[in-house]
Amino acid sequence: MRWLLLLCPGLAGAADTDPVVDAVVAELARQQAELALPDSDPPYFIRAGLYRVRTAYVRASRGAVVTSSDRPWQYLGHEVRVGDTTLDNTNFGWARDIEGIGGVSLVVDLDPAAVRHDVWAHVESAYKDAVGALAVRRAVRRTHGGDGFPDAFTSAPVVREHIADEPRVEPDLAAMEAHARTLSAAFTGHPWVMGNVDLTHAVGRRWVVNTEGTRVSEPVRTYVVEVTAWTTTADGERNWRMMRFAGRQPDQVPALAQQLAQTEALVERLADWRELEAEEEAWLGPVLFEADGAVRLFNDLLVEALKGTPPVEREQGGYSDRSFSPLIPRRRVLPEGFAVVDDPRGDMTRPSAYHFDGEGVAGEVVELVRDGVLQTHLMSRMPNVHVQGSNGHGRADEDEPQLATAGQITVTADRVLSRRRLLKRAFGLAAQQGLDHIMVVRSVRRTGVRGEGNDSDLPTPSELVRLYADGREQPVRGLTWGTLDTRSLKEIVAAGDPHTRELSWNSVYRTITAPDVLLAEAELVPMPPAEQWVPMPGPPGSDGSE
Amino acid sequence: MLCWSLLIVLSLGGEPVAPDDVVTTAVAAEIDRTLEAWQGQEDPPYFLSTRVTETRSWSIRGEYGALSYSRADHGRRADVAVRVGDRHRDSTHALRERWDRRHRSDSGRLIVEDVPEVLQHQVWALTDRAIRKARERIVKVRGEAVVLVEETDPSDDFAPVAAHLWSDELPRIRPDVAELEDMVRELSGILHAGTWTEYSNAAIDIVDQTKWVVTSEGTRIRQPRRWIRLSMNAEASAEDGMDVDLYRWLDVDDLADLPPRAELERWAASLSTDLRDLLEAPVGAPYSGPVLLRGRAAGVFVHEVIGHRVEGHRQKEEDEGRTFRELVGERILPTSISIFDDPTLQTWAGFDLNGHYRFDEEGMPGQRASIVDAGVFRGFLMSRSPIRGFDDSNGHGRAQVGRHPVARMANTIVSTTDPKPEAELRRLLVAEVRRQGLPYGVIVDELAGGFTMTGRVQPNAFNVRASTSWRIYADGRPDELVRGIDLVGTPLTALQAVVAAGDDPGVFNGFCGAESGSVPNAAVSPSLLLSRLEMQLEEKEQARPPLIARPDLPGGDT
Repeated sequence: MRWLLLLCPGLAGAADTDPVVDAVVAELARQQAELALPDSDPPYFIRAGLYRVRTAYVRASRGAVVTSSDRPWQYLGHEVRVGDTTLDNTNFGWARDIEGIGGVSLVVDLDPAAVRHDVWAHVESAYKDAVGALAVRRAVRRTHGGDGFPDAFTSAPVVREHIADEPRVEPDLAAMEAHARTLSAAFTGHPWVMGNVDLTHAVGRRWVVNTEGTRVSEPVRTYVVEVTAWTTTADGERNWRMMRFAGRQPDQVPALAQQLAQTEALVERLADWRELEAEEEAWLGPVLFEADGAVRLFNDLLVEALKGTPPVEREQGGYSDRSFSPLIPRRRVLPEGFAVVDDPRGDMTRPSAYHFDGEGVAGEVVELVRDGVLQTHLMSRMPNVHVQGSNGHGRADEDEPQLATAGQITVTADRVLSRRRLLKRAFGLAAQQGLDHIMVVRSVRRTGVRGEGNDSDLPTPSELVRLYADGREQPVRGLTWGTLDTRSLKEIVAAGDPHTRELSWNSVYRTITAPDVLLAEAELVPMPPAEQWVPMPGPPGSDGSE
Repeated sequence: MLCWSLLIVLSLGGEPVAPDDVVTTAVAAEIDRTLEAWQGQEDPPYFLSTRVTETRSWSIRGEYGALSYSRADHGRRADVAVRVGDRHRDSTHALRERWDRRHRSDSGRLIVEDVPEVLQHQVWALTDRAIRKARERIVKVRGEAVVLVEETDPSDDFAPVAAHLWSDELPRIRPDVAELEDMVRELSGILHAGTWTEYSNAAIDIVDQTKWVVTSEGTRIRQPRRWIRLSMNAEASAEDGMDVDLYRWLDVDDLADLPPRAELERWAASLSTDLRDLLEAPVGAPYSGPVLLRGRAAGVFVHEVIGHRVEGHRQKEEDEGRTFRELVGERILPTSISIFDDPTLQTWAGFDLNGHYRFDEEGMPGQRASIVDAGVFRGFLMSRSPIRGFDDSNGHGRAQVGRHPVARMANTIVSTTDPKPEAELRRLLVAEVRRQGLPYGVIVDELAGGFTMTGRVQPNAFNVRASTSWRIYADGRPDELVRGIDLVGTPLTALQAVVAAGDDPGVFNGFCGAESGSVPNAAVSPSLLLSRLEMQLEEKEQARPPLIARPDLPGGDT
């Protein structure tokens, strides 16, 4: 079934008349009509995502530029589906590298004939791969059975919409270099702390078209400043921190002075952390997750589990990810009073904001959790056994399968405590357990690292503080999680002020807003000893020799 | 496996100037500081070296008459080498019973701005990592020395040398990017005009480098390197599924040396029609018999058959075939033929040579090395890794960014004292075909590259891909173009079959890949006639040709 749906008339701009996109549409139509290998299915669906963007990028280290570039690019991702919506070539194989899905760098000239040539060559190649993959998949289903697998694809409205341009601020490479130099100079007084500053400014437009007739486009605007810092202790423990300032335009991120102050503070905290002795005793008691720590707690333990795309079906039968067990709707995942909503257009100053996902489906406001109970999943057009239709959250790099992904997540609690009352509650719990302090997690590492001894779904804390009732703080290092997983979230006993952070996976951004939360009890255990190495000499500037 | 792909390099000389710049000063300061800190410690580094490569590049490509991309880049990278132990046996020594990544250097990006304290900090981080690895590795080296049998060639790991000082630079190149973009658009449009072509491009790459070598022995080198390549490529699939492609290129050291636009247009048109002819040509068959390798093809043959096997370090590694190790002083080719490798040569027969440099990546002056003199095998290409009977470097220690240097080819030159005109070589070919009672012989015109295996585990063989070959019939039938066959063989047998050389030295500029990475080099050779060489079918793709017509052609709909 197909629909024609015109959305949000207030946002729609003039009709999209881009001749390059016209050429892509024409070639996709020709391919769908004419591609046919002997005794094989023709494509039943072809999608293309076109990015036309100017991207400027600068990296600086300790006040000097490492690299900078400013270049236009045009890229086409494509997806060819063979079979039908109940069983096709996608989401099948060894990994997410799916036959029938890929991408190609196009000419940067806006030359419809040249672009069409590339579409011709690459989509046909993808079709041949897709036919091969489907044949194997059918054989696997005959051998291993197909019970319990969801359909491959669901219908979606046909949408034709062109979102008008936002104000376009062109990248200023010289200004970006100056910015990066200034910010990265914050490392210069701290020889043991390594780091980079990366600035990315992208402006352009993206299109999604498919052979059902969908043709949508919207502006691409990204301005992101990332500060990455790391250090290693004498006993081999490595800590890594990242701070990101993200907007769609340069004026939507904090001013340079504010970025610099936060960067200096980050570097100093990391330098101080390096001097700490590693904890040797395990700890069990109340843990307060603050700021980055709270955002990552919800992101890593909850939001990741709300993505509804099933894992890849393997050639050996079954799923590639044995741990795949999606949270089941109508079951409790958070305490009463908690709600989780994803609104892709909630804050249009964020690079995570979008009108249409990578499949051309309008991004919907999704009520994921109501009063602590799961309502649904984030969905692309690939269904799972619990949820069928897309809610406009299929997003990925253009040459990847468009998997369900978060856009702008907001976690709220119906009862929010002031920081004073939150701490009072925390110390009350501590006292019940005979403790004179609590642990505060202000950030966690990027990913889990092998050998950390971490038995949890949340990476090791990168900023952990022992907090006493009189306000004294004592930074801690050398501890990681005992057991902490999605079920632990039901043990949240109080919530405080919200914080917003931008996270990314490749070029796909998400925004998470989450409150500080208190877990009644969590276990932190000593990390196993790392390989020891004391640099000799220390870095220039560390020993007075330079 | 060692392979030769197609890329470029050119380099110009310059006036010697004492090296005095921020990079040299910062790197040298960190080396000194490191050595001082390790004084009196157990297993200190006895040698430190940092190479810095600064690259400004432009890469411009056109496809189907449009601009694919036009990029300008500027970057600096450092490669740090550390040796722990002593020169007789150190941390770089080959491990015989375990695989490791000893050819990979500790490499990282540096800032492109001249801020000495930041450069020094970055070099410190790389050096610290390298020392840590070297100290771990020397333990394994010592362990193997105790447990395993003695090595066949117990030569030292490192040769002591005097320090070298050199500084040189070229005027900064400033290409007219808009004009070059226009040129690749036009040339790619000509390539695309061939209706049989499925993919094609025209490209120009400009690389302007400054390379530093700073060592704890006091060597301080700064030298420039510039390479410019204009290339064209066209591809299509034959009815049998075989991918047929032609890639042609021209290397110059100055944009002004590019041929006029009209000539380049003719090249593009010619490449396109040659591709069509190849598509229509029959697939060759496995063959053993006389083969005439035209100049450039002969250069690649020599590169694969002899070149990699005379790289010095291979003569003492226990897993290497050491084809020529015991042939020093023996005759291996006709007395009319000599082979040498000379990085000091900038041009040959009017062509720029890719393998030119003044100093190698170990900071040693490049020198002419005699390999074969009047048919007699004389010696090897040497880095600072000595082998039995050959203690000293002859300036062939080479590496790409990210790898440690080993002995590699630079400009490998084949010469003859008995040059024969082309017609005479052809006559000799046909005579040999008749003598062997075969219906045809083969002339190989154009090669796409090749590879060879020098170790002991796999057959000690070579493979050279012939993109354009002709059957020359003994009964006078017209020559017949064939596609899809490779030259294969083993080195000693192949060399014994060389019977004559031409008077037409051909220059093949390329990039050669081996354990120290991809390095630019050149092979120069006159045509070579071999009484017997084997050809095998090349690997063939299995995908069907396009199912529907190119969109701009009848049957397409634009």
